[in-house]
Amino acid sequence: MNRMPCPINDRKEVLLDYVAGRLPAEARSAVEEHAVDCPPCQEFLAEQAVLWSTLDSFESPAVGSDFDKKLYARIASQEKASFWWKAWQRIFESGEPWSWRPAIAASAVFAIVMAVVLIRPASAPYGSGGDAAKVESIRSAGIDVPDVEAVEAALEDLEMLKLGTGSSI
Amino acid sequence: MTSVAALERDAQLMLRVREGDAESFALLLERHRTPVIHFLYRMIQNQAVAEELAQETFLRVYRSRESYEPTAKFTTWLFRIATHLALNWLRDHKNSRGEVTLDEPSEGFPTMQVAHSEASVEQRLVKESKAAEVRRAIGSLPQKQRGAVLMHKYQEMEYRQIATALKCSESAVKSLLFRAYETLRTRLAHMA
Repeated sequence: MNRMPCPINDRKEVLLDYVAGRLPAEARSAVEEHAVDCPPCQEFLAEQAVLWSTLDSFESPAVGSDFDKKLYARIASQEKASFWWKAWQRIFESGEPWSWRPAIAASAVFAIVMAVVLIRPASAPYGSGGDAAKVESIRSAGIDVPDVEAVEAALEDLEMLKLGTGSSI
Repeated sequence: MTSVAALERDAQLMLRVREGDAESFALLLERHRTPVIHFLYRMIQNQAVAEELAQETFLRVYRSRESYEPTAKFTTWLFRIATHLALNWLRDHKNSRGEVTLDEPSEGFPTMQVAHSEASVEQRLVKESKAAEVRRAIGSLPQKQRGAVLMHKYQEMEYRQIATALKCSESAVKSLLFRAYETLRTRLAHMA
């Protein structure tokens, strides 16, 4: 019978899985058989087992009774979001090719940057007044400036949603 | 460990949510609400913030329902979102809040537990003291190590799932876990 090579250096996850109870029966037996003659593995298993039990004392409080109510209220609120926010979301959450979306977001950011550069007051040196004031001055000129934070948030959503929305990227 | 049938059921429920079935979303919420909140609580160690972030997690799941595809386990996706929100919150509040200190009890944790058992006052205090020490030890871990431990120990997630949630490789996850558990073994050895 082939004995298991010592996992303490290169395959320590086997020992973690043993303590966590996640090894199949055959693998468990192999670890136990190996540990009989391996003091380092015995020590590791013993210490990890104690830690595993100790970590069980980290309990969490009960969930608030109004959690679901608050969540559904937020969902309902979002459902009433403005036409433009929904259109913005549809761009990022539709089944369109993923390559369009970074380009669209990049275009929006570029448009903001160019608007700030071109429209900033002549008397104000670049960098003074703050970004908020620049954006406000652009908006007051009648130019619709998308919210940069919304663009950034959408890009973050894009990254997270790749997994759940079938993207192969 | 989550059964294969349960995992497939999650995907089926989410596909129904995609079709507009609100009841399926309620079932997913019922099944995963507590684990997500508990994970976030152990990450943030603030119950109010944990519930807020959990709501944001489910809100994002609901918001993306129309384009959902079961390319990965639902729980993997769910915890990827939750982990992302938790790490962002910790990063954004690091300067104002600092890491969990040794002297601060985590917010929202019930320090006075209702005595359902006949445990003595002394036993209860010992138990609370032990729990507080474990909380501090986990709170002192670097954020990614903390997330890896919480998903591995309390959510019983596989290395591959944790890697997806943390956006790193499986070997990186194992490395995070080895270092984290070694730190915890050292720090909590006196509690053996």
